[in-house]
Amino acid sequence: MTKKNDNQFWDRLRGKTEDAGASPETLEVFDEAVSRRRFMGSMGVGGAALTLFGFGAGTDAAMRGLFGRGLIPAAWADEANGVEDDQAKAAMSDASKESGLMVHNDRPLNVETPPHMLVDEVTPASRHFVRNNDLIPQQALDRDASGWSLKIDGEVHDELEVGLDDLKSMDSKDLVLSIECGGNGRANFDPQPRGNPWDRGAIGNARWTGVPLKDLLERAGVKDSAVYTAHEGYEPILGDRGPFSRGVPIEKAMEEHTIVAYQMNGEDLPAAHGFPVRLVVPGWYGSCSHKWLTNITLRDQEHDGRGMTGYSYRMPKYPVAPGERPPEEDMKVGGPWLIKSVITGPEKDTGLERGETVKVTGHAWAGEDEVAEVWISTDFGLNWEKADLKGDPVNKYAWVHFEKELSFENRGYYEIWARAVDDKGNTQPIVQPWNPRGYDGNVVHRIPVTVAA
Amino acid sequence: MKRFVLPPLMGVALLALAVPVWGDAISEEEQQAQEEKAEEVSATKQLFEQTCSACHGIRQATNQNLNRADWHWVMDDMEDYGMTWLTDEQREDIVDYLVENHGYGD
Repeated sequence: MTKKNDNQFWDRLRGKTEDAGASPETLEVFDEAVSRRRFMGSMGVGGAALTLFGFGAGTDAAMRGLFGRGLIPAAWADEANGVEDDQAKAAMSDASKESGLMVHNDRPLNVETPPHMLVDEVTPASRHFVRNNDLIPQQALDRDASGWSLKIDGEVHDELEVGLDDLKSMDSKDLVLSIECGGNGRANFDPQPRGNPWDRGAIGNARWTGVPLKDLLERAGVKDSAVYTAHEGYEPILGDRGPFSRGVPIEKAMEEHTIVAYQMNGEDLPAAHGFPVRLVVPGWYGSCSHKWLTNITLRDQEHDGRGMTGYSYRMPKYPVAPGERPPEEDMKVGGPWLIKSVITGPEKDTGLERGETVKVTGHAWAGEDEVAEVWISTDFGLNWEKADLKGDPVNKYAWVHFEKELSFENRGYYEIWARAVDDKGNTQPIVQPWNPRGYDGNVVHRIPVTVAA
Repeated sequence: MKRFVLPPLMGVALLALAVPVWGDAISEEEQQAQEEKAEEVSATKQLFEQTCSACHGIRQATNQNLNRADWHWVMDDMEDYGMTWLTDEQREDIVDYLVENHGYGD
């Protein structure tokens, strides 16, 4: 597109905008955007792509001005540069993600593990779910840790900044810890609430190596006034909004299984899992386990960063009817996770022969509590039989494994249901209780199978 | 709030000027109405895709199934996150499109 055509286009567009009843303010923004475009001239990204969209050149520059963060609208930049697919693909390839995972969206990248791929006792990176609110830093994709540090400030006696070598020189722990997205199970809510429709597989149970957060906080010296943490990373933010920043009560931050991790299953963290360093806060919504971690601020009040307020990661203070949205002041921070289980085998819709023995396998986990029992039903909950628990968890917050051999004497359609019970007697509901954003989904897992005649 | 009007789509602009063609009146009118409807839907789809993909993948929206109130709730949040350029009419068109294609009821 030539410069002349470019100018003609903008003049025509301004006329149309004015005709459409645009306010003087809108026209002011428009004029500013256009002058930026003209100034930027050959710098304009994706000019050719923009014409394909029928917008004409320059809209990228307008958006750059409006967004104020140098953000280039994805679809337009992608047309020219292939950024979107490439980043998602690069992140999937960097973590050796296997085919068969379910990609809910590629920008931000959100990937779920189907139940039969959760079969491993320790989840490999290649099968671990990915939940992002924003983008993956390019530096993480480049596996470039230069310049990285973790700062600890706020309600501490001495602000602390540690580099990667400092961190790795501290006493570390290897722990198998479950991380589960707060929205895991949302697909089982009726009506469907806002958000990614995670079914069962936004959970992983990998081995994480890192330094207990407690040790770092104690090095900085925790003031009596500290009641909550605030976490931040270096990920690029989508849209014109503040950084994603969640936190946990100081007691949880000081719990010895809350770690600042730099290895996943004995290797550097993949980009999609937070390279070079992430928090792991087991038993709580996964969003507490901030990836690409660079800052922890101790607060003298409940944290109010993005992801802490409104309805995000928050639950009603009382049960609500399906579809009902209570007023904002009736919401509170959600978590920790509830008792839960997943059946990893047989796979749903498996066909069986009469009398054939089938081994039901799965895992159970219980937030801050312990798994006591897992029960199996094949007749829609009329009768339940206890499954065998394969020993204690490797450590607190790791899931436990269960199995149970079954056979069906008669033909027909069956469902294998699993229901875990924690040490306090809490169990999983048969029908999913509802909340406005679909958190805490822990309804009984059902696997349909068919027995041939 | 400042609102930046995205360029009106050429198809829509031309439709506004379209003059009925005389002849086999009924069938041609019907045909034209169908074409206009199809172009409007396609224009709204394009507006939706261009607007939402400014920041995130389209599937962030299309993988959901929400009622009208919830889609408006989403749009409110997106406006807080910088989606400031839609006119009220454009916003309503996008919500209509989402309810029709990725939602239920009103």
